[in-house]
Amino acid sequence: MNIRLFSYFVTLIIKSRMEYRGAFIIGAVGQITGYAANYLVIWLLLQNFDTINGWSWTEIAFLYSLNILTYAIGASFTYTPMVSLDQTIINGDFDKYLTKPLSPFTYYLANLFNIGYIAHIVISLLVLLWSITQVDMNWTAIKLIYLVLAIISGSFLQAAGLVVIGSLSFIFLRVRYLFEIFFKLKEFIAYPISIYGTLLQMVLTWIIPLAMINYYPSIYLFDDSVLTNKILGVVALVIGPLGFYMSYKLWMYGANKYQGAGG
Amino acid sequence: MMRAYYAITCKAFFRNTAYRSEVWLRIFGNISIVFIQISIWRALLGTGSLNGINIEAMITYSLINASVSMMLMNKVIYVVDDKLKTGNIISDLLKPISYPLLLFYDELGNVVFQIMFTVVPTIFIAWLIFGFSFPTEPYTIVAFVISLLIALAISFLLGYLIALVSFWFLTTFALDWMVAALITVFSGSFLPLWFFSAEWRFIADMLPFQFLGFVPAAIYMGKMDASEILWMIMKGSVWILILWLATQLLWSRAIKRLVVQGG
Repeated sequence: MNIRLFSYFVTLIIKSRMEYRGAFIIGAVGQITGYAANYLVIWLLLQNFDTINGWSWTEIAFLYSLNILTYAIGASFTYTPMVSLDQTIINGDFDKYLTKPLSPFTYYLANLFNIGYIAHIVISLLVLLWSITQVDMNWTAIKLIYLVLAIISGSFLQAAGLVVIGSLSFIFLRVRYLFEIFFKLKEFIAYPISIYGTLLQMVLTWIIPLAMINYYPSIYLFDDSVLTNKILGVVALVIGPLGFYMSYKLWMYGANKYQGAGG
Repeated sequence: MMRAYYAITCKAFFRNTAYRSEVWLRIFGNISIVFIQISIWRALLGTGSLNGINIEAMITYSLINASVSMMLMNKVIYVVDDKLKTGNIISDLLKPISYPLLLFYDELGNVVFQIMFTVVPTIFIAWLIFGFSFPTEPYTIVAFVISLLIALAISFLLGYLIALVSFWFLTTFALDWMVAALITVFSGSFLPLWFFSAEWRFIADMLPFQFLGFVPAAIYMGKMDASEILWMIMKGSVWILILWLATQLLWSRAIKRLVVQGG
């Protein structure tokens, strides 16, 4: 499936959502209020304690926004298809994605693209841009390119997490609780991971590399004196696309094994 | 009549036992959240204290709040929403029982299940890992139980109120996000109201959300003296009355508007 066809699907989805413009806008306002509350709590917290482990309010706002922004981009493409995959299989609706002359993966994603994340993107991008103007980080062209790449890589990594769990639907049929665990784990990277013990930091870096989404890119951008962090900062740019490719392979493997849920 | 309510509660309790695998998930989720919060407070407070609050106090505070949030009933909004959309509300309205009371006792069954299978194990595990202090004064325990009942009633009435408002707007999801946002900030479930600045504290004191987290925890920890506790119980009761009157008003209007689509 080429990009033109994919964007045609997306346009159709946006048009159909805009049929109910009022409901869409109220929904967006609700989501923005929800995230504003999360920012507000952290801001109130840092009114009392200037920093968390040396991270000021603006730095935390940057870290936090990077997580929400990359999640919203990745989830726009993968959340709805992956979360509903188990039910699609159980209902026997998955067959229609296999019988088109298109890659089942991209066709399935395009069919269930979710424009609802636009509200997340708006608020996190605004806070991210605001925090960039507040944090003193000596912007250079390289850092700017780095930030763009980090956002792309992070989005891929977030999407990869959802695709991996979605793939397991082919084997276990019901995987909703695994998504819940994934979202709980993601709570850990809302704050700088240096507040946790060494073991957990290692897990979040190497085993479930969620810290690559926002922590290491932030460190890379804020502080360029520590060499190891710089290496991990570069790893963070590669791991997203790589992880997504592997999750795609896993998904396709599952789709090829797929036999239908019987009935 | 009591027998009917008891039967409703029991039925809801046993309905929950069908989803036993979710119990592990909830316990895991709770422990994670408490762990993250404790890590943050450890980074912030270290071995010192602020406004007389040290890390041990914050461990107890976080754990109480995680437990109380498992007992809140504001998710009743989705029960009503689902019954409205499917039209199943008709079979409830035909029963010779007041509809809100039917809902309340149904939710109570869920809460009893949560307490037995999520809250108690969470507290036990957290007590083993982090340590946890129990109140010594018997009157503290009595006041704490009363504050829990107030939290149940207020959260139920809030959820029910939003459900009734969505009779008109049919956007349950957005309204729930907004109320959840207010609860995030003003219940003090993450950041205790002790750490709010004067003007934010003033807003929090004017709203009913502090009864959903901060008040039970503060009473449990013995941070309120007898006159403060009495004042809070009175204030909470007035809130229950206000919310109840609001739901009665909306209900009498909503029931006239109710048109179940299809037969």
